[in-house]
Amino acid sequence: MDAKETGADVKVTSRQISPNVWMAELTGEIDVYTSPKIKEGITELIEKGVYNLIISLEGVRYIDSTGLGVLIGALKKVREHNGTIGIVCNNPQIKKIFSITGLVKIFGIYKDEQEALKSLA
Amino acid sequence: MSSESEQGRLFLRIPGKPEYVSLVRLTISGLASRVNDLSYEDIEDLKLAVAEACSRAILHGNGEEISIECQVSDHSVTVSIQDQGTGEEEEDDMGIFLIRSLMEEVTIKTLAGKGSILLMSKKRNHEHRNQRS
Repeated sequence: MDAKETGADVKVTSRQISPNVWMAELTGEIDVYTSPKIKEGITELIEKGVYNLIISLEGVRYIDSTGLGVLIGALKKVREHNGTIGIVCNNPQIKKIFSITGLVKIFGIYKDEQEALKSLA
Repeated sequence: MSSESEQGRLFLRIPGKPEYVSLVRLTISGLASRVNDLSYEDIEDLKLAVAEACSRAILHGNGEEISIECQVSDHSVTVSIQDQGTGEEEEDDMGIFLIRSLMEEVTIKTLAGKGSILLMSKKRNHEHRNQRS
């Protein structure tokens, strides 16, 4: 497990959960100030060769458009390597933002790690 | 702001720096929580929309100060965010799209060479009264 303190109160914690899938748990409030740090944490994983990623937003209290932009950027990068990103999220407000922006059609949104892993495997 | 009449004005001026947006979120959230007729969802919408507007102001504002004015009236909560940036309007911006989706009335006034003002409002729904108590 690799926990990376990323500034303010955001954190990216990653671990391998299957031979080709990694889980990245994000925590904190992701906004214009903290999203560059989240981007750094996720980019580091992709540069290590992780192209199938489950990103958990269960520890995220707030996300704005800059945070969504980071997730979209990450998805573009993994798709270049035929990878994909699944999102674990149960927060109604965050799910609403994914729905309004149409991102529910681009990302798979799952209720837990097992459901996401089943879909990605 | 008077909690008795639930009307009033709040003014904030922040440096045009990303680290100040969380402070605005906290303030708006605190203010909105005192308005009985807003649901939890309304408060979350307001918080996100104001923060998006501040982020936009910071990104366009060349580090200049940002002014935020929040007005609570009988029927709505209105917030204006003024920056001193380039005044360029980007309608395809995801932040603007979110603001327009979450708030009821949104207008952007460009002040030639002097930045822009983003005005938004959320209606107070009297049916929500006491739902949060």
